[in-house]
Order: sequence, then structure tokens, then C-alpha cells
Amino acid sequence: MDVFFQALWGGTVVGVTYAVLALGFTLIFGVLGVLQFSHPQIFVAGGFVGYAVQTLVGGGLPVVLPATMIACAAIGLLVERVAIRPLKQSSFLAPAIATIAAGIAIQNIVIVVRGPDPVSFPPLVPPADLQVGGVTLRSAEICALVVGVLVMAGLHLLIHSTRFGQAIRATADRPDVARSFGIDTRLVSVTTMALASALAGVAAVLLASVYGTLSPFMDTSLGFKGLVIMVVAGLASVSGSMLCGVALGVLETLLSQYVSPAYRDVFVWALLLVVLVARPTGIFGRRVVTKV
Amino acid sequence: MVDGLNVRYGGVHAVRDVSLTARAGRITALLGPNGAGKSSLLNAVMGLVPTDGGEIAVTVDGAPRSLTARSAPARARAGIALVPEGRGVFGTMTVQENLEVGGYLLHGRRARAARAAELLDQFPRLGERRTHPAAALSGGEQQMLAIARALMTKPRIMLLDEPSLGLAPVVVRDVVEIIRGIARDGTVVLLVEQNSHMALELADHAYVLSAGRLVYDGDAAGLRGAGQLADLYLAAPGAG
Repeated sequence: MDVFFQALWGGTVVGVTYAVLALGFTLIFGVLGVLQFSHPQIFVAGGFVGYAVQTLVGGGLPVVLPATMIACAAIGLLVERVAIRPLKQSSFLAPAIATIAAGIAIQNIVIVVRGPDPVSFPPLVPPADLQVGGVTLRSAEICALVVGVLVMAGLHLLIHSTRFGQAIRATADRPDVARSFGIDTRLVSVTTMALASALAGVAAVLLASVYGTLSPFMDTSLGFKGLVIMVVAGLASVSGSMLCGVALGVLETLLSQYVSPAYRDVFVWALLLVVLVARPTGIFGRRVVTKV
Repeated sequence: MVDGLNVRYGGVHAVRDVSLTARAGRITALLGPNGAGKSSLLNAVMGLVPTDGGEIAVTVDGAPRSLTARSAPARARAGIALVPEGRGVFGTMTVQENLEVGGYLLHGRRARAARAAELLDQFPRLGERRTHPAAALSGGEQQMLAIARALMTKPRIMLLDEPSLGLAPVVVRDVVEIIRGIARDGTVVLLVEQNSHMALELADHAYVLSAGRLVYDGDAAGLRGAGQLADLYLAAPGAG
């Protein structure tokens, strides 16, 4: 049983970071109507910013987390300005493809600056273990769980209990109608982009400190996981993305534990296929009506 | 209020050199067959579609103020509110939240809540459904919500795009009474309708638009006779 609970704990922690990453995808898709394919590379860049801040300046989580969030928000704003806004009017695909290009650029800048090899990520909180029953809870894991949950709770509050959150939801639902009531939808879009990209930074710092390692090539598998979570949860479902992110982390870890780590990604794709066939709009998705 | 307005989409010239005036306390109807450019004109007045030549102005206390170069949010601040075609409620948000978004420009959470409470009193059906998502409301209730939402800021100018669309006759009668009440309160009402019967019963002044051009500008009573409107539609210049 201890092995099970250990895997459950590890999976929950990793799942929370997946959820934080996927939320960014979901928010951007909901509000800007764009699949932001460079979101995973912003995650990678965020991880390396956190690494640089900690190794050059130090200060641990209270310094590294805000610094990374600011850097990622800035990168996100740049992507919005360069790859999304100029192409928004042309077609649905053009901005999505431009963000793929932006992602390649971001990743390569990271590689040019730091090289292609994985680096070991310094601890951001003093390393310590807590024993609960037979399960070991590492301080980095506890910290990732607490910060991740706080960030998600904060986002949930922002979206559901503030005037700005209402503006975000109104813009996601009907941008024209939102504008007619005085909502500056461009400002909402830009702010959402900054906020969502900052979330990628949070996910990067948390996941890297849990793994203790960071690679510029983490983007591929994580990016697809983020997309799978968004699709499985139902496009633009914020609370759905939170739940599915955690569920994915848990299931993936249990499967690695009891079947084989080699099948971990197979499982993610199988899950996507099953959901797409059974519920094409996602588990928490609203019915999508195609307008002619 | 609107002078020489043009709207183009790609190669389509949807509104051609249209000029019209709507006055406070009166109901001005804009009629015309499907595709005549009525909604385009209304959306252009709201600032949701770009215009290609022409002027849009609001006159308050005798002082005209041009809105032509202003964005939709700026026009909302100038006191224009839209009840969009197909109601346009925020489906995933509750009735209460829809009203709060309608009052986005009001200052302070308390002001928004107070005004929403007033409107929920005025529309008791919505009051009962305050916490329901708007998508779960009936068509008539959604229309009431769209109207109540536009009333949140007590706008000077109310643009209504086909408020009778898809509603049962009994509900249309309610909507008619509500629109009358809005005009009575001194608001400029510009009503776009395909339901000409309802619109002519309500309106003081009528414009008829056909293939993007004005073909009638006069008293609404002048169109109430049988067949007159149909003749106008058929006599449309460059129709098709």
C-alpha cells in the first residue's frame, strides 16, 4: 500500500503542475481564440530563467517565482504582439502556425544561451523530508503542491469573483457584445496572455524543482500533455482543466508504477482518443455549435 | 445622428449613403427585408463594424458630438447600448452576472449590484432566475435579459436588433410594452425589425432600408396601410 500512496502523492504533485500549465493554454484559447503552441517553450524559457535567477542571485522561491512569472509574461506579450495580433484577422490557422515558429525561436534562444544539455535545478526551498505513514513527502513537492493549489485558487477567484474576471469570461463568450458594454477586449486579451504565460512560468519552476532537473527539450511531451488536458477537459473550461491536469498526473504515475514507465505517454494518447470518440466536446465541455 | 453612412464587407456594399435621425423619447423603426443592411447599420452605430465614409454623432443638450472615430467601448461610455440580434446573452454566465457585465461601466461593485437589483425587480421573471446560467433561459427570458442588460447603465440611446425574433406572440406583446416604457423614460430608441407589423405599431417614425439604401423616411403611420411596405420592398432600387 505504501508504494501506491507514494505514487499517488507524486502523481498529485506533478498533476498540479500540469494543471497550472494547461490552464494557460485554456485561458488563451478561450479569450484570444488561438492555440498558443509556443506555450510549452515559454514554460522551458521560464524554467531556465528560474535556474539563472537562483544560481546567479539566489533567494529561493520568494525571489525565483515572481522573477520567472514576470519574464514569462513578457515573453508571452511579445508572442502576442509578433505572432498573434498581426495575423488574428487572416484565419484561424495563421496565428497558430506563427506561434509554432515563435516556440522554435524561444527554444533555440534557450539552447544558444545555455546549451542543449539538461541542467540540475537547484533546490528553491531547504531540502527536507516529511514521513507520513510510509510515504515520503519532500519539501519541494509540498511546496509545489501548496503553491500550485494557491495559484489555481487565486485564478478561480479572479475569474469568478471580480469585475475583470467577468470581462474575461464575457470576452471569451461574445467579444462583440462585450465591447458594446465598454469592455476593452484588446486589453483583456493582452492581460490574459500575460497572465497565462506567467502560469507557464509557475508550472516550470514548480516542476523543475520537483524533478531537480531541467532540459530545453521538456517542451514536447509537456506541450502535448497540456493540449490533451485542454481537449479532454473541454476547450475553455477552466475548472475542468484543473481537475483533468491533476487526474492525468495521478493516472500517469500510477500506470508507470504498476505497468511500465514506457507506457506512460501511450496512456495519455489513449485517453485522448477515448474522450474524443466518446465526448468530442470534452468531459466538462459545453456543446459546440458550429456557426455558418 | 447618422449621416451618409457606408458599410462594406469584402466586396459587399451593405449600407449605402444612409442618413437617419432618432430622437429622444420617440421610437424610430428601421425596417426592410432580410439582407437589407439593417443589422450592419446598427452594428456600425455601435462601432462593432468599421464604416467607410459617413458620420455618426450624438447630440446632448443641443451640442453635437461626433462618434465616428470612436471605438465601441467609447461609444458605450457616450451612452449607447445595444440589444444584439439573436439576444447575445453570455450563455455560461448567470442572469445576475450578465447584468453585471451590462453595468461594466458603472463605478463600483455596489452600484452595479444596486442597479441589477432594480432591474430584477422590474423584470420579476429574471429575478426568479437570477442564479441560472443564461443559456438555460427560454427565448423570451433571454430577450428580457438582453434588454435588461442594456438598461444597466441607463443609456441615452438604445439600439434594438430584432427583439421579436423567434418569440411567441404573447411574449412579443411584453417586449412591445417594455420598449414603449424605455422610450417614455426619455431614451432614444432605434428599433430594427423584420416584424414590420410590430414595429409600425410601436414606432413614431420609420425608415425603410432595401439593398443598403433608404427607400422611405417618414411617419410610421404612413406605412400602416395594407401592401404599402411590400410595394416599397419590391420597388427597391438595385435589389438582389
